Amino acid sequence: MLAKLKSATYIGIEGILVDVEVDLSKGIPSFSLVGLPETMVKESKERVLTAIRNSGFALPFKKITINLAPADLRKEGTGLDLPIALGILSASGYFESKALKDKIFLGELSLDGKLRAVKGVLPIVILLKEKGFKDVILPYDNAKEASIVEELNVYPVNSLLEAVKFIKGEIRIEKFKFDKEKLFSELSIYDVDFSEVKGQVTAKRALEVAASGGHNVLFIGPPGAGKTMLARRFPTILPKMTVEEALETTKIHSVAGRLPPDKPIITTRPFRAPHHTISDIGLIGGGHIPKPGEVSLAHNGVLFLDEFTEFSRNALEVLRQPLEDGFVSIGRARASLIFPARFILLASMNPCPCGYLTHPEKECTCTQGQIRKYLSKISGPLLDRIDIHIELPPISYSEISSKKEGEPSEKIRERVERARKIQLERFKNEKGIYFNAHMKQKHLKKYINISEEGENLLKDAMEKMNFSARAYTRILKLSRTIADLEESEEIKPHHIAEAIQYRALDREYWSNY
Amino acid sequence: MNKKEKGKFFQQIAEEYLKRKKYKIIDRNFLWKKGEIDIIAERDNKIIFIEVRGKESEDIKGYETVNLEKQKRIIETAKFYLESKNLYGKKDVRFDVISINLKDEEIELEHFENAFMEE
Repeated sequence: MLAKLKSATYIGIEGILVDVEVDLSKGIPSFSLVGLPETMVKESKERVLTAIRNSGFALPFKKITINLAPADLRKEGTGLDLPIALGILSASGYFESKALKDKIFLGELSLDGKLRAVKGVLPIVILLKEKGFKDVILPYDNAKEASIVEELNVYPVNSLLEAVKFIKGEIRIEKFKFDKEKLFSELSIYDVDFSEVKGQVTAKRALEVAASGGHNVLFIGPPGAGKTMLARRFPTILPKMTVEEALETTKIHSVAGRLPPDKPIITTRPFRAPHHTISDIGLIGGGHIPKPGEVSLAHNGVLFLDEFTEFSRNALEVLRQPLEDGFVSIGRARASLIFPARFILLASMNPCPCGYLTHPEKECTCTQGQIRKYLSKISGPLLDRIDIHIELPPISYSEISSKKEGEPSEKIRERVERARKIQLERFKNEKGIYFNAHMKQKHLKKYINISEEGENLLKDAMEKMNFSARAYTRILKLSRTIADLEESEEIKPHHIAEAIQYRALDREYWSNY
Repeated sequence: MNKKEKGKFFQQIAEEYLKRKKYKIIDRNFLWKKGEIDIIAERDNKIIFIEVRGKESEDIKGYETVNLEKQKRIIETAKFYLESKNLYGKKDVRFDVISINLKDEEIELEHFENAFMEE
């Protein structure tokens, strides 16, 4: 007695189809699972058998053999519980195997036969759409996430028993409907606003440029200058996510199991702020079967590293690949995977260990050697990959006590959205490029159009200030964004001058110590 | 009663019970180098291997003593039995446990069908 049905699981952030074959034969009663199951799948034995019994079905005391094909791919996740249980029931004659045809089953079983939500549903349903499947049966808590892909008929079920009744046609289940447009049209509400930040005009402007063009930012300043305060308000001026971006980010969060059931798709840019004690694996992703790390969870959003120099050297250096390429590739003995990781890096640090090196009044108590050691934690290559360096001065009394409100986030975001629109139009034929900061060498030639005066200014600056080649391309990209903010097609000298101003800090500190 | 006699006594109780339940006993005390099966019976075209466990104590029930090690031995012996009778893969098989507790001349019998399966 053989039953065959289809299910799916995921590797990294890609879905894969799995054929579940269940055979019952005479012999010593046993349960064997073949086809490279990982621990979670192996453990399904106890869940499945108990759930079958507790749903009121008789367990077949036969030799049960289950094969998960393709047999050479490792299967992880708990989503195969439901198809295995249904396969056993079908093979023991509770319903015909035909009824299972062309449907996809997914779901984790609890011991009482109820269905629990599984991870990685979004990558799976995207795959199902590509492969032309129509009907998918899965736990209720996953229904919203699955119905993001509109072409599929999503049938949510609560328990194994309900799934059996539905297959046998004893009950009707309505297709799950869900208004995804509404999710996208909802405006994000933040409890912080840029108008609360007093002073720090340059820093605010820099963040506006960063948000518009997707540039990385490093804040350097004494304690209490408002570095963290500014960073926390950064998400309030970020442009809206496109549907594509939202799907990409949601895929990663889905696989990491971080999607709340009531919010199936991430529509606001993530803001990740890991503590500086984080390990390099936690930051970049990894593990025995690689899982996405903070850089991937921040995909299409912001990664905020407060106290940048306090992070371990290892953790900082692994940031280089995602900063340059927009993805991380993690190789392990059992699997080698690629996770997207394109984010705006927002870092903040003190200028020296005591923090007061740049303070106009307070005395710095650090020795030259201490400062050199402190600054050397941030390597040149890493620094080169941060487009904007901003020095924050301490806030003066008159600024703190001033009643004048700063510009509200909403106004800034309007400008950002306009600059963003220009970029979307510009890169509409370039796959995977959304922001000026993402431009590769070949795009620079195509899209950067500098006036002659601008060219001369840039040449002068390059020679006098000793910029690296990478710094040069960064300046070009930055000035492109600044010009976009002014809605100017041509890059003018004052755009370049502003861009150079954002690069000047590295020389001031890092070459003197 | 010594240990051996006790064993015989419990087995007799179990057999009488099985006969009442329309089981056909086809073999008893089947011995092999890896273990022993107390009763081998047949019903509904199924071969049933039965382990009988008796206890004269209130603190511990008979079935509690059929541990994993014991189960493995029974399964291995059952395989040998099926092979030797040329029945392997031809009949459905079941492993049962009959647990008997004796207390002040009162007999408490519990029958566990499908008690265990191969890991």
